[in-house]
Amino acid sequence: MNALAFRAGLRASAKVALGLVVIGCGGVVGDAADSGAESLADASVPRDAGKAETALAPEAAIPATDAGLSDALACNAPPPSSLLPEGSNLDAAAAIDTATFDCCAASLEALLPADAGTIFQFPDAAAPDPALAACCAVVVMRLDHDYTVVENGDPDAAEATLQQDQTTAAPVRWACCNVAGHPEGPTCTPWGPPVPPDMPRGEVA
Amino acid sequence: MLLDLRSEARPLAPVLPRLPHLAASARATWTGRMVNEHASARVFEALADQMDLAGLEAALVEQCRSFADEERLHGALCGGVVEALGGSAVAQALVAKPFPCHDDATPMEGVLRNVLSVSCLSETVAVSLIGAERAEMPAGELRDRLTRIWADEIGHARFGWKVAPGLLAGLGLVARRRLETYLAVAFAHLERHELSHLSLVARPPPEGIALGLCSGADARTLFYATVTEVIVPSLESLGIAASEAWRRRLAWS
Repeated sequence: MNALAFRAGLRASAKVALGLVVIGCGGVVGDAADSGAESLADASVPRDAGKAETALAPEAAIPATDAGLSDALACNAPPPSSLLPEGSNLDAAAAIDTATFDCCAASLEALLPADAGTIFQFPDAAAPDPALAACCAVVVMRLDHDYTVVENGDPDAAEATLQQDQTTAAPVRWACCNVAGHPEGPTCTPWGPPVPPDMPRGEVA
Repeated sequence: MLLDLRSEARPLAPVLPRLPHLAASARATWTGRMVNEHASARVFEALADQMDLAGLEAALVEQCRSFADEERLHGALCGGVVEALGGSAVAQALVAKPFPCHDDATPMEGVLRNVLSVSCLSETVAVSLIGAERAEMPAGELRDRLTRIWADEIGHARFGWKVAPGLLAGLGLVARRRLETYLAVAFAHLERHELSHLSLVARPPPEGIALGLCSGADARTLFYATVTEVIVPSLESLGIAASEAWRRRLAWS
């Protein structure tokens, strides 16, 4: 089994499980590469069947914390179309500098409530903002580029950069994968996804 | 008891690449899949009955029941591959085991236990394993067939992840703790089941993927990754202590 196949398998199950439980998006689990298969599966699912988990998804209750999103995301991020779809713009991904990446990660994190931890969806109010999509593309593609360098270049130096970038982007990584449409690269595949926070005690009781 | 799917399977025989040196291994693999898939129909029928008795809405019950038809079709589709490989779609059927009703739990809790075991665990692992096999398989009729089966398995897994949050919401603390204990048992069962089907000695040559022959060791790695990186975090996000349950499975192994 090659690495791509391994990743494709994991990615498929992650979309089914993480996509429904955490993202709460019902049958809307798109995948351009596999749209045929997933459409077949979607066709068997009633369109209103996802309402229950949507209501239960913890992220659904997270309020927007900043009305001026575009201002907050002013990091000189290139337009998403220059970075995505993944694989066609490797040079652009390599050109994302640390300052832009750090600015984007920090700005995106600022959209979240202070104690949100790792989340899988940005507040609804933030979703339409084009600056959010641009910064998410920066986060995802910079990490993808880091992985590529680790695999193909100088592992020691690149590993340190990858570790640092992973730490920086950890709170927003999975939400950005959602915004970016789960591109094929290693960032949005379920390699070592962070463990979601525990349910609060009050909720459990 | 014999499972004889020849009449259903023969019209469904696909055109396969000619790899005579791998035909025997491929026949064994697809015969096993035929038997397992066909037997799974009983599981979904029993689960649908249990859901009906517990008072779940009729549309969900019927959706679950439709999965049984899909599993039977998968059995025939796999049997068609056996026929195309020069074999016969006849094999010893699995002995039917009693479906657990979980009388120690409330009806909804009992349904949830089985939904977790069937859809959120077993079928979610199936999505990974079939998805990986499909990703490697060259284009052709067998890949198309695998895609059809995979699409259905996605639906079966998705069903569980859709239903579970609603069922879970009705459980109190004590019932949740019981559920976590059951989850450890279900994890142990899943591990035993998967490892028994993923042989470490299965190391087919690279061209074997064209007939659905995979490395057992690689598949085991993917199985564990699916549990720890997908299933456990997803259950944790529902407030279930799945990491602890995965650790505690060792006591039930």
